[in-house]
Amino acid sequence: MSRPNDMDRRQWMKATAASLALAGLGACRRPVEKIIPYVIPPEERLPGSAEYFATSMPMGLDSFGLLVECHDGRPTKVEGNDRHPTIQGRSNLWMQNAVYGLYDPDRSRSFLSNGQPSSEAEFRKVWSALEKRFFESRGEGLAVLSDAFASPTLSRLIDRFRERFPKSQWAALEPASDENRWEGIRIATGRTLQPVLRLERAEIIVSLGADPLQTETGALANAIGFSQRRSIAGPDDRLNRLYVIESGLSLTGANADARWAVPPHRLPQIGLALLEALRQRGLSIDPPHFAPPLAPFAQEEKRKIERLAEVLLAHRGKGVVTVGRSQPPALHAIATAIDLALGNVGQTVEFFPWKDANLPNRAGVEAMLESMEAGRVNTLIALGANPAYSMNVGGRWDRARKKIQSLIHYGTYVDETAAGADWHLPESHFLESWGDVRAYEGWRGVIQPTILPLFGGLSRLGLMNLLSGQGETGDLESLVQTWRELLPIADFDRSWHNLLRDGYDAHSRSTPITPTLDKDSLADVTGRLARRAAQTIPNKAEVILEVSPMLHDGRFAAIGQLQETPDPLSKNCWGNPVFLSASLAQRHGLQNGQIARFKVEKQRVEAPIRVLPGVAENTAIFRLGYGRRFEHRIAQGIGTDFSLLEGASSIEIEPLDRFEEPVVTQRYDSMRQPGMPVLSGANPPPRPLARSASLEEYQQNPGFAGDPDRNLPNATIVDHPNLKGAHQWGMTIDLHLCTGCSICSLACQTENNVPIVGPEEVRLGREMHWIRIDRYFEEKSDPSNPEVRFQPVACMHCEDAPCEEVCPVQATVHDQEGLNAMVYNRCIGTRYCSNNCPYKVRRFNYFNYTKDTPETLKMANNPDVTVRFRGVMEKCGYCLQRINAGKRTAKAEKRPLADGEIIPACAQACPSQAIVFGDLSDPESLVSKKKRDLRNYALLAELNIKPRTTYLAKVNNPDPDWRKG
Amino acid sequence: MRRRIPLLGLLLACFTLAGCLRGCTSDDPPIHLIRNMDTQPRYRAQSESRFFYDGMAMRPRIPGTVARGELYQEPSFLSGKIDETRFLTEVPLEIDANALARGREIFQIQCAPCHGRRGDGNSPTARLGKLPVPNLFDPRVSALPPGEIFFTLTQGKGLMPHYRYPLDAQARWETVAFLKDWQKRKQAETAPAP
Repeated sequence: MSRPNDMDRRQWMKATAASLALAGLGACRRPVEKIIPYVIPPEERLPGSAEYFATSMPMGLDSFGLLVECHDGRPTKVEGNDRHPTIQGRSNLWMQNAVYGLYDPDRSRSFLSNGQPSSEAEFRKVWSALEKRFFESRGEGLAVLSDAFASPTLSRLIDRFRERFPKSQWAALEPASDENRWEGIRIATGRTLQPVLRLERAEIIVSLGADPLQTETGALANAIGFSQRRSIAGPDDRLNRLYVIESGLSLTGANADARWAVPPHRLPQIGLALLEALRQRGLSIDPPHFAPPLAPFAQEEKRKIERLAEVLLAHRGKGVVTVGRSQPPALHAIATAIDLALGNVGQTVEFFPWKDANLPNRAGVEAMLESMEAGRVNTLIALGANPAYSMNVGGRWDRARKKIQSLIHYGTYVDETAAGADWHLPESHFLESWGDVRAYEGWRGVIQPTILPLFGGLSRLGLMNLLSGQGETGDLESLVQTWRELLPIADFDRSWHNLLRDGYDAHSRSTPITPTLDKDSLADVTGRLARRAAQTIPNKAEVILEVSPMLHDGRFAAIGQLQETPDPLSKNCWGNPVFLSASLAQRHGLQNGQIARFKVEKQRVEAPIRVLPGVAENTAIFRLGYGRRFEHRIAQGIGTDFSLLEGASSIEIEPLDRFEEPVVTQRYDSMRQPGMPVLSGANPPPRPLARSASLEEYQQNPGFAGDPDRNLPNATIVDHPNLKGAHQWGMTIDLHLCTGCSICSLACQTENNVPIVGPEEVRLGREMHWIRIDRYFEEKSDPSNPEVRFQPVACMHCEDAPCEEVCPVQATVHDQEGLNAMVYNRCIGTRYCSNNCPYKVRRFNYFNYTKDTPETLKMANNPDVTVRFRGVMEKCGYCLQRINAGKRTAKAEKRPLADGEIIPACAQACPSQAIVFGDLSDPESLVSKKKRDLRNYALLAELNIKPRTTYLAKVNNPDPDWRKG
Repeated sequence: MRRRIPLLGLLLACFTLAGCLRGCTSDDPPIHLIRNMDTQPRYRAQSESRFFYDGMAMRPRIPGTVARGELYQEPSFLSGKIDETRFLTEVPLEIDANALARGREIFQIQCAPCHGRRGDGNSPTARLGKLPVPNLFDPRVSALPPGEIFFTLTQGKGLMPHYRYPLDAQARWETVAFLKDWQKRKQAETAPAP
């Protein structure tokens, strides 16, 4: 990003002229490019061609199977592992951005001793002295604060560590953990189990404050399963129904068929009432002596809950109740009890035993902090954890830190905790190291390196080997040592090879457990919850503290692509404003972008606010993960750190007289924006952009989406292009399956070298995403429970493209296969094409955004795609490089191209398979079939420009009894 | 006037510079004011990197890793050896007409320049370079087990370089299979009628 921030145009021109004059012409010589071949070329590698490695991305206790595309030994793109049973080749935001994490130039580069560069050998010396001391004291005074992970080898090494230092302490810290959920399951069943939703089997999904499609653990698998069950081929298909009761507007809530916004304190009450309603209808859940005192419900609310109970009872074994991770354990216990009693367990939700897991433990962390404060800890190793950022409410960590003699920090960044540490050890990225993981459901997988560590660094295995007294053991060696016990002995070499090739162990899935309901424990806890819930009547605004859908708990804050990806609902990026309901904002006289001061006891924090439809009244939504305070060119100082609100339930709001212009990519909420041009006298009149109907309407009129468009006159003022190619490319986007998660946009960005531009440019509307996801709130719907529509919009590849007509230099032209191609070298930047594009999908390089690309980030750029220069227009090209690669492969193998062989990056990543790409000239291709679906319609069909990308309209399955009034 | 002197100087300097740029030859690359995507911040095949110590943008394969699509091969398949002293006596491949045809093609491209199109060691390279290129139908060569020929292709021998690159193990075995087949046919031709 080379835009000079604080300069006006005149100053900038002056500076440029001056620097040109000063530098003279010497610096303007054509750079000498050298050809440097391999000295000893590796076998089976052709320079420039891609290789794929299966590996795993650890993420807390879960992990994702990856297939990493490497060019000449450098990872350039990450896809989901197509063989992995839960990933199925799909991906989420974090997987797509793994290469940016790897190539981040601001990653920690060296061992630091008191902030001064040191070396690994130096640290090994220091550790061996420490080790000797702690070995004698059996670990007295030694403590490890780690993050959560699940890995066979690491857990074997932890056991060894504990054997050597039996008196040491070990606790795992995870700022956004599922501990409440596990505790709830423990209350209901007496066992700590791992819950996994199986939404592909669920016809009725009830979510209480949860976001299973985006921010909860297992969201990717949930999204895949949800869309599998939700896809419809015709009006006779049955639809699942998603009920969401929540306080903020989550992505799941936006996709709900029936949604009910309630302030946070009412969620437990609703859970209890649902339990009671089910009990009254004969579901045997709790012992007869128990009847919880219920908070009063309005008639209408009572009806909703009763209806929910009826629907759940009518779908025994086919429904599921899921609760958000921040809800109290008792509510989780209730949900587990309902699922057990309805026979959903084993069907729509499965429980698995925890294996090889280093479970996060808030109580353990508390105990460790206390013993630190009491001076009982001498040396603390922060292993991947960042307590100085996530656990420093009221300076708690700082105080505890002062009481310990030495703090050893191990992590990817020189972060907040590293700043005050005696030693910092750089962690090598997972794409650089050997390792293994145990994903949800028990799937074991391996992590294999795709490149040697860029900045040196110590792998997790290396560190744990060191801590457990076998510092000389190599990573691969200790990995193989573990796996010799897990794979068949007889043919280990072959199984190990196949394991690395596939990335996961196909025989490792755990057996699901069906626990029994512990009624007494449940009655006890629900009774207490009911008494507490009845008493809670907050007079101040209520607080929801949730993870960011992009940055999670802040661990991805350093990735610019994620910072610039707009939040699906608010369309806000580069920051985390506080989301308020309209009524709450009005009560405090707050406007969008106004800064407010939020007070909880002694804590104060100032942040801009944003009114978001769908947020429950009297509720403020705070997002974690922002406001990082370590030296980093992306993460530092973006947004506000709200972690100090941890544990707060209500908050005081004080408006301040300051404003901050929000960084948003979409400034309108409605499809009919005042001031938006409407073709006057258009016949037929313009239809909604994102079309939808209820299931009932769809059954009555299956062609609701496209009807009037079919009779358009075939009149055009442009010359039809020559479309005689062997293939005719086209795309459909199924709005019914699209959840709005934005992964397509990010996958496109990583595949096509799309630059990020920074907050200032986004404010000016200059973001470069080739796919934007339009988000609309239906006008007719109730503003507190808006019906949300998502519509990914990329270049439509119109056959009669308006952009081509106005380009004076033929920089955008049609090819014979129907692609609207960009010839970057010809572009002179008139921007006429963009002005003439009715979909506004063309993006312009206002500055040379890639000029100062750090050397490491150059490696993240796709070698098959041009990196654009200043003054050049760019847009989606249907992943032209992939089309050509596919055609080349087919030609080399002397066979015709198969349908589905060429997959653009967006379609490949999409968890719900909403995007289908293929050859329209083949009537049997999937895309041709999709285009014959009656839900198919073209965006702005009245312009008659014949877009090649069309949409399939959405079908909702609303509950008539939940409708208002 | 005092003001004009530096201006004049600058003008003079400009002329001198411009003259020099026009008249003198230079080892420097030409002046290229607007870069305009001629060079792009991305690494391509065989390009230079200013990040890595060896200046290479292409990185080595990490030992022990397995790429997608790589079938497991017995160690003997990759070396041609059963143990330290013994070589494979059979080609560890299903040999069909296609494999032989591919082997033949590889032979014509990679081997014929030295061993000759007829495999008799009579090639321009051998003649002009006065190299001792063996005749592949020599009884000594014909008697070699396939594993040893594969080993030679993999490691090189004497002046012959290794062919690990650009031939992968599969391709090398196909070449060996073709050669063995050829030798057998030739033997049958020249053998006295029984």
